[in-house]
Amino acid sequence: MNRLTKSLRFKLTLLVITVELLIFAGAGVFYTRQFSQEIDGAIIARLSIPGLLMTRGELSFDAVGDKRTMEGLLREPYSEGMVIGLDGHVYFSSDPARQDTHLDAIDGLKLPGPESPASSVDAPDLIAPVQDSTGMYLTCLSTLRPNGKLTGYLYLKVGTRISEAEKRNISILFAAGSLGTIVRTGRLCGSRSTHRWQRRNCHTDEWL
Amino acid sequence: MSPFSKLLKPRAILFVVLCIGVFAAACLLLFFCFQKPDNQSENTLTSANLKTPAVTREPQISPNGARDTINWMGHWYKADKRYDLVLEIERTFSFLNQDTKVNLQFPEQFAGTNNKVVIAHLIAEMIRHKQYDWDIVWMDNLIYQFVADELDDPFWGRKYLVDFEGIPGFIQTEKPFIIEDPAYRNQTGGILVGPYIEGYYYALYYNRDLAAKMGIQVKPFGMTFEDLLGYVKAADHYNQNTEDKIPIFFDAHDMPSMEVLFQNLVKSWIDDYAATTAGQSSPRKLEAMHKGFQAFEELGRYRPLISSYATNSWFLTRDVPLNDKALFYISGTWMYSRWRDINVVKSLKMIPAELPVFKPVNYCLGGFIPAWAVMKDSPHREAAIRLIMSMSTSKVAERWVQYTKTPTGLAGDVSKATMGSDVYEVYQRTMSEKYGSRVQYSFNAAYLLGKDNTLLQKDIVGVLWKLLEGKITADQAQDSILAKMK
Repeated sequence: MNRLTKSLRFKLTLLVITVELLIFAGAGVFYTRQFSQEIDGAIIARLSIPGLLMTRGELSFDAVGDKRTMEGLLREPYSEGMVIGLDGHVYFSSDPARQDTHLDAIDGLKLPGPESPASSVDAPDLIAPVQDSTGMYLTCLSTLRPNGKLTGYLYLKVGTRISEAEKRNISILFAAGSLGTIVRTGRLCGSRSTHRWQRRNCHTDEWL
Repeated sequence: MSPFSKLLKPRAILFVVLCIGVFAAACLLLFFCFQKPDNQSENTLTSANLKTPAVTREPQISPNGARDTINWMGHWYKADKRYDLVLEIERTFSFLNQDTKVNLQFPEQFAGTNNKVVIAHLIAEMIRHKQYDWDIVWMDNLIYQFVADELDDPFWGRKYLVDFEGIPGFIQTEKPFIIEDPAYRNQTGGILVGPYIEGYYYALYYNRDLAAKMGIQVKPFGMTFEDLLGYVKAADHYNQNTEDKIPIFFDAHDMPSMEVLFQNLVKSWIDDYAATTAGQSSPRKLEAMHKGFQAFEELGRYRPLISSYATNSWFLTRDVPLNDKALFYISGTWMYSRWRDINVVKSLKMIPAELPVFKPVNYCLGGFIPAWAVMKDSPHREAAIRLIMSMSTSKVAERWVQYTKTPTGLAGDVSKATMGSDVYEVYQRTMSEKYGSRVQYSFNAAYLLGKDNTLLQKDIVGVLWKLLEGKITADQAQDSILAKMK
């Protein structure tokens, strides 16, 4: 054992593995975050699509009640959708119980009034994460401007199962790739050919 | 050897480094696997605008301070997807016009019935008392005719209804033949009272299960009278050999359907589309009428009519063919929605077939009708016109066709009812391809007996029932009608 641990092969392997670990950990954290942000950006972009289409008149308002259509657009589990007038009146809803009711706030998100900066033409959609006993959701409130005039809001609530799974898959892929590389490096460093090469060319076990 | 030097032994170093490595790898793996989504970080998924305080909102009031309420008399109450379409139109309009309230009520809700005579009476009363409780009224050619009878004025529409031909942009929303063919305008006193949303073809519906039981294979298209007679004979043969006798034709006293079969046979014998739509009689037409009576006399030998026809109320008994209590029912393609509303699964057994003819022609029975009209003197006329125009769109046309599997007079439907995925779509597509806009049904007897004898349609219906019951002959039927002709 002493011979082994004193050997250059062992020490080099250890050094390489340690460096790899550090690099992979750093790179893993960095890229996983980057990819997660990319995935989040994609969700945000997709959440804006129904509102844009409704504003352009290319998607009917009652599509909020069509789970298949909404999931096709959002690529996430569709939980709820409503088209709300400026006065909080619910005109279309995926939940019939919400139809023709009045809302001032949804999931703690207060409806911005017509004068609010959130209702200005260039204001971004209001997107917020919501967690309840059934899981993690994203809510999105988009302004609807058919004919160029602020007419109401589109509220969407979607699960994050698919994007979370995507993120997890990326992480697992990184971790598995890192571990695989480390294992291969270890095996490569410890293989006979390396040992022979070492014996033939580098009689430097005494270096360290 | 000191304990410190023991710690520096390679084995210990290796052990410690390995432990650190495994720990680091495990931490890394755990970090990757259980990392929360980045939507928790403020820079991505939350918006600074969340902090914007809510503004107290009041309902939007129109610039003049008044909030319009359009009183809209609905149609297609709980008629499957047609009902959905009406609600969608109402909600979309309400959302886009939040300064206007829409009070949509259906005849079944406020009158307890969808009887057109009752609705016509209500409209006539409104006009008589100049009290316009409804801005938008249910209106089709029949209701128009009933109101005309009540007011004794065939052109009452010109005085009391908005002519949509004068509304900018309306003409472009209709299929060209609706505008070009005066027959449509003539349905409602010479004006276009609103969008021609509803289109229909007449069909001979048969109960697929019963037909199979009786060993009858019904031709979906190109059926002749001889074919129909063959089916009736086969059904009669079946009935002769069973205790569970099944009526061959269903009918109801308040919506007679056998006249449709008669009209189709007669018009095919006339063999001239222009002549069949003209309100003039001719020897050829009288000959066709006799030929039609003879056909019914022949059918009557097998007593094919359901015995309860004189007491059947259409609305209450429309499920009879659906429940295997009658083999055939002649009706419009609107029955698709009506039966689906009763039972979606059972409705699939009612198969439409083209009505039989004496000889093949290039036209068929059906039509395009408006659904609503705006009262000219209603208090919210402009808002009501806007609402009607909001449904005169290609989107509504497309939806109508997809929802109801019937044609529409609105321009812009692409699908033509009709990618042919089921028998109903195949029926629509084939009829549409075969006959184009040469589709017409005559609600009165003018097509056969001339304009002076429009009211003889009821007499023809009565005669047809008698023929099917074997109570009179074709000659007697002909004589009785000719005797009543002016």
